[in-house]
Amino acid sequence: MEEDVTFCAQAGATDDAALLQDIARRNQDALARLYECHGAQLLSYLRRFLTDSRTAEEVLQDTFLAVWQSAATYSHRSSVRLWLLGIARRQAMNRLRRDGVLAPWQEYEEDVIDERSNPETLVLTQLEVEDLYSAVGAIGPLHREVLGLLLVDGLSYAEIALVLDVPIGTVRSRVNTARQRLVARLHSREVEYDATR
Amino acid sequence: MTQHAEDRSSVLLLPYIAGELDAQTAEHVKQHVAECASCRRELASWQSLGHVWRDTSQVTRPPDHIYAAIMRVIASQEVTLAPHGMTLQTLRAMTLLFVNQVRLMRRSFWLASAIVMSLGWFVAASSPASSAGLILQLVAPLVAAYGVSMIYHPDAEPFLEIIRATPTSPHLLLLTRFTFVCGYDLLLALAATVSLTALSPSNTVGTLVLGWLGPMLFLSALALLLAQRWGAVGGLAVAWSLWALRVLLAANDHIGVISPELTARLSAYWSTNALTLMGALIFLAVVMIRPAYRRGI
Repeated sequence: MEEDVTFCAQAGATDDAALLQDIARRNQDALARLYECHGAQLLSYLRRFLTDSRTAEEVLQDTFLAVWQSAATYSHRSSVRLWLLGIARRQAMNRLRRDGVLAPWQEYEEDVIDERSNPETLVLTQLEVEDLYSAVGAIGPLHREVLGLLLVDGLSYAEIALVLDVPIGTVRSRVNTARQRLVARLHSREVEYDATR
Repeated sequence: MTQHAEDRSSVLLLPYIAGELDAQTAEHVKQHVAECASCRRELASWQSLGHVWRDTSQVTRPPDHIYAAIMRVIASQEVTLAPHGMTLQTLRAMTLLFVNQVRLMRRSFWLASAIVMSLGWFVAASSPASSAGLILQLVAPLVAAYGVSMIYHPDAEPFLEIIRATPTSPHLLLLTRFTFVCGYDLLLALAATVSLTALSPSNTVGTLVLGWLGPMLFLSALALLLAQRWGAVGGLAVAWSLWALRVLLAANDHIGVISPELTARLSAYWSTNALTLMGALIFLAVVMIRPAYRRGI
């Protein structure tokens, strides 16, 4: 787990947890500083999770409104950064469910591994990173999310588990499934490509 | 894409990047990657993906217009959330909360409680009038303890993820459900009591109700507290054990293991008295301090 206190360069050595305490006391300047410190990173995460920039911006707005309402509930269980990611994540999940992208129970179904494709024995040899990048956009938000948190945000499995609020075993299997789906998708595209030649 | 059956190292590449492998496995993967060209390429692919993805999604500064929108909403909320007392809107919200919570509760609960209470009623109605009170004293708390153990815990919550995402506080949800379950069981027990007194006028409603009300509140509050800490099964197990002890006390008249004086003294606790009511209040207060799961915001 990260250290509880992180410092925001823009706001100058500000204690994140203290900012949350000030926000709980309805201090709008504190909210502005928290937005300056974490807004960009949260928006990056939401863009990867939701892919649509406009939706990501709307969810960022919902996230900071939720922080304004509930800053007092921060319990030091994780760093403020992970806590904020967790809130952004729940707001994004609400949005995906409201828009019908995800069914209410989909979070659990997504972890069921598709036995038909046996990608455990498949290896990525399609090395064009552009192909990989476009395939990531098509594997579904929940798997794209764990890959992003791992590869881009550099979070450990334990940290991802805190953000997703799931057991660490679920993170492990979701990362594995994400890889399988990505490899299977590239594989099927390669087969299609071969067939057209 | 090629088959790579001789080694499963490729599956371990993402955990390897995340630093999640133990030292021995990580070393094995490292050596394998050094020797295996396809795994080396896959590792490089994941790392490149991370870089490209970071570049394409990166935001250097959070947009000012979003912050302005946040401030506008907050300003409007500060106005609309000013206290107005109990308005029609508040009443409507409370009604909606109640109705929706009932929908989320397991359907089996309503039926199971009614069936057990009806069985208790049949046994009481077919027993001598003097035993009716004792039978209700045993059945009503059991039904309530079962109900409250199941109302609010991750073990027993099929819609946990959704509930956590709602803005309603967990304390309010817990109180709403507790009120519902206890209210429903109270009504069942009252109906059984009133109909029993109609059958045998030697019993009065007051005496019968005082017999089961205290134990019912005590046992259900205890079951709720333990279910919050140890899960629904844990809560039920302890509540049922206490209940079984009470049954043993009742049966002691026939078995004669404990002295009749001690039996009478212990049985007296199993009624509506300061001890059971205070106990119920204390258990409820502890539950309300920290419900089993927090709100997701």
